[in-house]
Amino acid sequence: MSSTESSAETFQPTVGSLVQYVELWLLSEDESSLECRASASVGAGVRGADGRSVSSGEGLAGAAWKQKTATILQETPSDLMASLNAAAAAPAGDLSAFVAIPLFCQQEMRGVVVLGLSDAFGAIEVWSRDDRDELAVTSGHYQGLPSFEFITRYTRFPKGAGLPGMVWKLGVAQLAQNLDTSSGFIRSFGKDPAVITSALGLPVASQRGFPASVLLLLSAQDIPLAGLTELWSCSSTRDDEGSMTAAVDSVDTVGGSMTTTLAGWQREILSRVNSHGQPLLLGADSLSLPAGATFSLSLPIYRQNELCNVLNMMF
Amino acid sequence: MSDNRYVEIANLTKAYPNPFGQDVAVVKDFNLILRKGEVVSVIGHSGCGKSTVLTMLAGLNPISSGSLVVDGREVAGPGPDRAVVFQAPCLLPWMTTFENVMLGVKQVYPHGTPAERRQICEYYLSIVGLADSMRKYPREMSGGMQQRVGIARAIALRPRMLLLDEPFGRLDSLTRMDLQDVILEILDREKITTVVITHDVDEAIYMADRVCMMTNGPEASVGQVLEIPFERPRIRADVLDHPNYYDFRACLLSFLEKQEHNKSSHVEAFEERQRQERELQTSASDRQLETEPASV
Repeated sequence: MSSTESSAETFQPTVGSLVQYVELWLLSEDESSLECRASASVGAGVRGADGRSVSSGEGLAGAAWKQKTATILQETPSDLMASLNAAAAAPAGDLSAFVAIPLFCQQEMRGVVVLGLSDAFGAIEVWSRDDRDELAVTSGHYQGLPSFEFITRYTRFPKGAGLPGMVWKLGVAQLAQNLDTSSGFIRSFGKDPAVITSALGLPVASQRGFPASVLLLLSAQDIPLAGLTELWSCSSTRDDEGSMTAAVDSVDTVGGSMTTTLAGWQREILSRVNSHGQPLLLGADSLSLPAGATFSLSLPIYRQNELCNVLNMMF
Repeated sequence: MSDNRYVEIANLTKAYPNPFGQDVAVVKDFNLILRKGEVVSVIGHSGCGKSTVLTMLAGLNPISSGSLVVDGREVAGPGPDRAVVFQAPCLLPWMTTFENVMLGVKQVYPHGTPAERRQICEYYLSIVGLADSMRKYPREMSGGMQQRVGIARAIALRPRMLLLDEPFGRLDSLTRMDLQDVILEILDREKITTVVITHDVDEAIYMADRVCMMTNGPEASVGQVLEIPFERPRIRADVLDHPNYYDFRACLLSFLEKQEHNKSSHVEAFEERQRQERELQTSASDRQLETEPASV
């Protein structure tokens, strides 16, 4: 692995990303409900808490919390769009689907992140174990990928096979790139109008080191997930008082190379994740982001009780 | 054991030592579960390790690590509960068709009367279409007919599992299609859990409920499993006319093409890893020698 300067120093803003809208839901003080602490839209920046709260099983975020799995909504709630429009906080592109990602550290709920996806080419998939210990898609959202969607319905991955099977086996997030030529990515067969080039596999709600399900975010070179998407690989150490502190071993960037050096804003995010262990949605006013970036979303991913990855998306 | 997990292959690995004494895993961490009565095709490039998996399942080739369980019992060696049909039928040339089949039947039904055993042989030879050729010797039969005897010989054992290792590889297209239908008819009737090794995508789809695609070796494993939803009994014309047939075919071909395209880089990466391991071992041995006191 080469040690180079972080690619995050050279951010190029992209308005045409697959993710257009983000909500951050954290537990209330008494842990009885989830509260929407912040939201952000591409082109409109970050908004603070809007007073919304849901109990377990209620709404998209509440469903993800209760079911302990990523939950997909294939429509755009009209009340949400009305509220975003009224606040002049609507994203630049149209939204076609939402996915709520629950984040756990062992059994402890750390928050739910909701991503609103544009109607551009791409896909999200939730892979869960079936009765013979293979992963099958239990829900998915596909834009412009009819052949890919069809073949996925009949595809199964045993442990260690394909990207979902590898995430399941290792229990950590995986980033796969150059999928159009990679022998490791085998569902695409060229009949779709565009080609998926990168895939991000996230373990969801790990139990005894293995994820209960795997979320896949698939995107094309022309329509990336975010302006910048990074997957940090972390390792944790325990200090004399027994508290865990994570360090970043490497940063893998979608469309870029792997680096080992952190920029200032990345060190700040790591520090906050180490302190609170919660997902972060931060605007340029509260974090010294690279020029051109308006906000950053960070998802800490735990295996057992150790931080193993941080997924960082910048817009 | 449940019928949903009739055959469990878990982390199956087969390794052989290379000239440097390192273990080279031909197959590594192969995972697959078969339901009772299910037919699974295993497809992959020549030399990827398909037949290695099959011979381990047959108990003919000891495993290096992992586990193989059939009907709740660990596979510890060959047995009549797992019948194999190889590419070459390997019939005993001095015996008739009937006698070749009877050879196995005598072993499996030692307490049966001669009449019962004869009935079993005649029944299975008739369902493979050899009712009129029971007294013929192998030299008097075509390759296709000999392979029919091989199939009858395997099925007559009433195995829990049928293992077919490219059974039609040496046959012409017409005979191949004919025998595929013979086997499918038998499997529809007998509901035997079956693994078919093949490198023919059409055969893989036509015969199987699921197709297991193997990655290239070394360290070959399961790349993807594809469910084939066509109903049984299968009629070839209906399968070929199915609107999704060519989607499944394209998926398999795409997988094989990508494996072929990345073959050399996969082997190079593996050899580089092995070279690095050797260097690490050498430097560790050197350090140990340096720290050991000299003997006097």
